Amino acid sequence: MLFFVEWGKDALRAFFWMIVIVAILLFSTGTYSQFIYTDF
Amino acid sequence: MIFNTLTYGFFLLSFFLLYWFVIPTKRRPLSLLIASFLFFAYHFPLHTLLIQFLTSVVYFLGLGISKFGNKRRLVLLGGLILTIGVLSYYKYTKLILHTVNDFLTLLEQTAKLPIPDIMVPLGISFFTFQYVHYLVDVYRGEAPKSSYIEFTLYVMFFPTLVSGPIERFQRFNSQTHENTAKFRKEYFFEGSSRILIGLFKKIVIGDALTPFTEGLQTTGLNSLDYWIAAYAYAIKIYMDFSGYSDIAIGSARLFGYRIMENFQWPYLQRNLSLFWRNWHISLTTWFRDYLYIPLGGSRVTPWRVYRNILIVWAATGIWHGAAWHFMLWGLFHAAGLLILKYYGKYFYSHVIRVFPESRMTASISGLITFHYVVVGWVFFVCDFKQSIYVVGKMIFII
Repeated sequence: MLFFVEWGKDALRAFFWMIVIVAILLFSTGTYSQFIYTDF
Repeated sequence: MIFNTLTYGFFLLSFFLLYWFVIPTKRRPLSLLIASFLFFAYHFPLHTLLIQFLTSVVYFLGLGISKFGNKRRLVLLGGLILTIGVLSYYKYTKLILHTVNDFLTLLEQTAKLPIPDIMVPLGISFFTFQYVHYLVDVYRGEAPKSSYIEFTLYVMFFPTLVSGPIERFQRFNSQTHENTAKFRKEYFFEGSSRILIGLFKKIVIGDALTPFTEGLQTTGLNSLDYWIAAYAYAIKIYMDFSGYSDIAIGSARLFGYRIMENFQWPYLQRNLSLFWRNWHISLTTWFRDYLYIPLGGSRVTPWRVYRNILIVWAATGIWHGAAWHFMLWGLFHAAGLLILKYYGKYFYSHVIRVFPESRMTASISGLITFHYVVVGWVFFVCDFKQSIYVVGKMIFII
């Protein structure tokens, strides 16, 4: 049982990071918008 | 280099590998300094000379302050005039000349002052504040002695060079030798996950909200449309800047440094004072320590406290950008803080008698605070006339 809980936690964590990375890649258009707080 | 680019990703990863697995422990601070120069010089090679010159002058003035007995104050003053003078020249010359020209037009004069094309050095607003902090702390005897390389690394440290967090020298320098001696795998995991969170906030949420904020720059919309645009901007600016800070903190962590936090759930705070204690923390604590408290802080007569708050928030406003609407934004927050300071207690004591303090009252004050901040962002993002027009529409529902 404990094994499955641990495995479930790891799997959820991995899934979270996968979503984050895929979303960043999908939303990166190649045109980089400036950060608001940077002096230009 | 800019954080949300592939160039930065490549630079960061390759330098991370070099730093921990090739460069000997003793040479790590120096290698970090060289990497920081490359980072800065990538876009603005000429400005690297300026920042290097200023950093050297500030370092030697710092040495001077601890050597000159009676003339310490004069050396400090010279350092402050130089650093703030350079910041003002680059950042505010155009604003002043434009303002003079606007007055000339008002007086129906045809003569105009020429406006020079001045390019602002990347991050000058941030590293100038580090200089001021260092000089004042050396003067007060609160900054430890350091080598030239250590001080230059503090100013030039590439994760925090461009837009903060405005780290304090004492905290930074104590880590230069302690945390960078041996590689630990948590540096990689904590650093890289923080960078990913930052990129997510900026690219996936912040940038995606941009189309919704564009209404703020147009006229003729109704109140609800302006409110939606203002909400979108409030979320966008939080995601943009806290995402930026995450990338900065994460990048620093990759090299063993723990940099101060800049945001702690600012939009969930119960009042405006708490909002500012949790929004851009490194800047608000700077203004508190190097402007508000030297002016007398809250330990003076009520009228002087009133004056101090106005000065600090006018300065905070104009620091954010060289345009008068930024000052308007600062003063809007000053007004909110003054209302809270002088009428808050009176108001609360009456409200709490009817509605005892609970999660409900805390949520309602949180909502009021959030909306005050949202209206404030309109002064931040729109120019003077447009912001008054939009805020008018939002408040009077016309």
